[in-house]
Amino acid sequence: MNRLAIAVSAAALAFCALAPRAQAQALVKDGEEIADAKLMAAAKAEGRIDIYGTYPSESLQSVLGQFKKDTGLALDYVRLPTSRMYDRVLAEFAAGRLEADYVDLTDLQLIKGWMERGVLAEHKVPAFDKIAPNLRDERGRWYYIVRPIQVIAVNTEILKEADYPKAWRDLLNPKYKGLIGMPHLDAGGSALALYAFWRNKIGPDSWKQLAANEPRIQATAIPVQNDLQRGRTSIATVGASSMLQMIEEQKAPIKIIIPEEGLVAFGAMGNVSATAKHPNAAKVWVNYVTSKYGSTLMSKTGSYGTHMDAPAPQGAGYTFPPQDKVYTLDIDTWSKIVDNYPQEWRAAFEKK
Amino acid sequence: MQFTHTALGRNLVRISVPALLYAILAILIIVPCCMVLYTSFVDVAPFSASRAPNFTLANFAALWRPENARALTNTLIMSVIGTAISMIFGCGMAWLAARSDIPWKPFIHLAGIMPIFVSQLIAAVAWALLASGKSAYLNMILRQLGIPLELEIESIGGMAFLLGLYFTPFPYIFLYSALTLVNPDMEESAAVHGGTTRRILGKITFPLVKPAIIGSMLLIFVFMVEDFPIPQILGFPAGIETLSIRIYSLMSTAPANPNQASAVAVFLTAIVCCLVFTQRAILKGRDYRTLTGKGAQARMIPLGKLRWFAAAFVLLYFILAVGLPLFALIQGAFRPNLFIRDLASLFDITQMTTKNFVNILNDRAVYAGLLNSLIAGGTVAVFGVGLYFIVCYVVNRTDLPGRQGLEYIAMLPLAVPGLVMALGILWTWVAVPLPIYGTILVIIVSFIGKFMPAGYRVISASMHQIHDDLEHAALVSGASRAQMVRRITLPLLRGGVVSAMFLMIIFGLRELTSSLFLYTANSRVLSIVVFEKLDDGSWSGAATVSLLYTLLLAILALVGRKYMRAAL
Repeated sequence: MNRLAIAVSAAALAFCALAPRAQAQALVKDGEEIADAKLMAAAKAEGRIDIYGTYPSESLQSVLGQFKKDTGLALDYVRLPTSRMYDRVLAEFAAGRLEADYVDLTDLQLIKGWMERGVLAEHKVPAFDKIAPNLRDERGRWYYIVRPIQVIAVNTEILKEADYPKAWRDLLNPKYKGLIGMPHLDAGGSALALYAFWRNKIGPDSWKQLAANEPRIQATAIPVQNDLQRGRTSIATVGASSMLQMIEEQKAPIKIIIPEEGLVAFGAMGNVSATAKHPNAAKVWVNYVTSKYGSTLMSKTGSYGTHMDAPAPQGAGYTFPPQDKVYTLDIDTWSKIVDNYPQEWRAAFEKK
Repeated sequence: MQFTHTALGRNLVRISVPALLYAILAILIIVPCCMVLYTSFVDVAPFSASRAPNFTLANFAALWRPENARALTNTLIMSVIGTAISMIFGCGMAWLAARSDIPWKPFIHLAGIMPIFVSQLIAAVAWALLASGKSAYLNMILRQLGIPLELEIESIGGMAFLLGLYFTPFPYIFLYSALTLVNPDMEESAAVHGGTTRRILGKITFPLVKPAIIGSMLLIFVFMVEDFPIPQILGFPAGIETLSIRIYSLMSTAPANPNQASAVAVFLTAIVCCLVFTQRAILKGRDYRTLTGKGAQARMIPLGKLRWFAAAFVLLYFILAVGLPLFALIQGAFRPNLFIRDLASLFDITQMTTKNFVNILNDRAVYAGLLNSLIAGGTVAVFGVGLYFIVCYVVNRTDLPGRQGLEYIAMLPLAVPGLVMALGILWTWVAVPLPIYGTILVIIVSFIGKFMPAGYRVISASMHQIHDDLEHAALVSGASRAQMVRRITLPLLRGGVVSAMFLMIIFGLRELTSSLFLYTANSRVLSIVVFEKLDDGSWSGAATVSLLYTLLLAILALVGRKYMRAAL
């Protein structure tokens, strides 16, 4: 009897000892290891991850859902615009009360501010070498996790097909005077990238020429989209993922134009926070979104992913060009333009 | 010896009550405001730089730029016209509801308070859909009717009109409360001595409710100066800048410039302090208390043939402030997208869908946000209004030392623009060593501080009308001060207190700016849910949540109305 008891106890102990190991398998997707067994075990022991993100949660829903399904980790997403995010994270961090395990921003200059204050942890993801150098910090303190793109879109009920613009340059044509909607430069990283693209790729005078066409400038990207959808404007420079959503889900009368000169991308870039309560779960998240698998999921939301082998976005019958056709600001250019642009932009666009 | 002990005890009570109130207001209001003041005099924001801050006056020097002067002019024009519109609608309707024989009184009362339920953000988007550009609903109707007129709400006049519409409930609530508390004996005497209705109104009724008129005028003027959603949505695309848009620009550039924004806030605070001081000077030395121990029955003025004209005036207001935006919300909630080809499409039921409702009703975030908002609003209604009442009582009904200062502190949050105050609140609560940061409690506490000016004003306006001889009579008859407040003051002020509680619930459901800095996944309130829908580009989602939220508030209003009417 005693022997039996000892044998049962030994078996139970062995089961208990092995059980966590059996649960903590490496996370492998399509042959790509996203997190090894040790990291997964630690992440599962933490059980959850709290994210402060700048990317609209609706657009990210499918990726968040798939992440929870693939990893079994619980996830909470708090969405804030970039300027509020920057202040809030700094205040919480300085007070030792940062609630988030992962934080991101859409502004590279502000990411520098976070790095200087030590908000971001260093973490090299498994796909580090498969990420273009301008999309990551060399010490692994930040990564682009998603790269939404700016396109031209038209309202097909208002504008005749023959009048659709084919290139960014076409928007300078006086025949479009009063018909175009655009965001303000202060709207965030997307607007800065867009106006930098105009200056650097279309021409140094393009701002003045564009302003002569009296575009309807809105404070943020959302009213620009709404104006286009309801026919207040006929043409707009907008985010592709929102347009795909409007076309597919809302059946809005909108057509996306992929301009001849190429596309402009901005991004949400972030990393594990230095004081994360669930650092391993946060590492799994960063590994996941920078992997080929995660980047492919991102591309299905209408934005480019981070991994260089991930496919270009697709949806609603549109196929977007490969990554090398996409204009993305690097951190040095960003630093150079960020101080001068606001004043120059105001001089060109603001009504006197 | 016994006498000395009693005197000492009394002195202790006299000092401890204001001291306790000062301590509470310090953490709720003074510390966040001091944070803002400090930020305006240094070159980096608290918690934002690794180096030590340097003292500077550059933030104030930046105020005198030409673009700020232009923005100030636009703001003043818009706010003066808007205040005039609000006062005409609000005072007119309050008098009609409280003192005339206008028909449909329950509706008049509802029309007076209902527009406050509509979130300004949603109202501004709705009015842009109604009256901006060729594709606007009202312009489609005008075109169809062959009327050669195109409405454009994106103008200073349009913004002033909307501000006027949506701030009308403030003078209405203030005036309604005050008018129901005016002793009708004086009006009766004037009528007996041959005074016409117009003369009685001009010489007796309105002068008696002057504190409520001036108090509400001041409040809404400052609200309009600082208002952000309407200028942002309607002024921004038309290139019309206001002070609030300048502050927004300072706060939304990357990195944000809270130092300059704080300087603007300090400048505004100085203006508001001057206004409050002027208000006190105007009202000083006069006694507006007419409700005394003698019984009184409010006198209803017969309007004669004008009854129906007056009712039509209120109906027009209701249609403009609630009916038309509600129509735009319904269009948003029942349509797959924003595009409407022509007038026939506008009313074509086959183009409508209930998909948005199904999505929202299956969205757990909406229920969680609603629950959090009700908890926050309800708690502020009970504890916040309790605090406002005590402060108001101490200021207006006692001779305790330092009581005047409490009023100035209570009005401070009014002067600091929402975006900047929200930062002050964040900096304060993130540093306070209490385990409430990251919970719904920190949102509740921030609401109690932020809503204090409105709550204090509503209660104070009613308190000004009640003569203290009733309270003295109770004290002389042997009642304790607590018994007197419970049995005399509170029942007489029921209208004002219930109005204040009701306002707090509504504000709790609407408040966005401070919630945005303080919410976490577990303390997401309804306004954040609406913001996220708008931010995701889903006008349909935002319209659907707003429609459901308006229905909820309408139910609350119907319940609240019963108690507010009891104040008559």
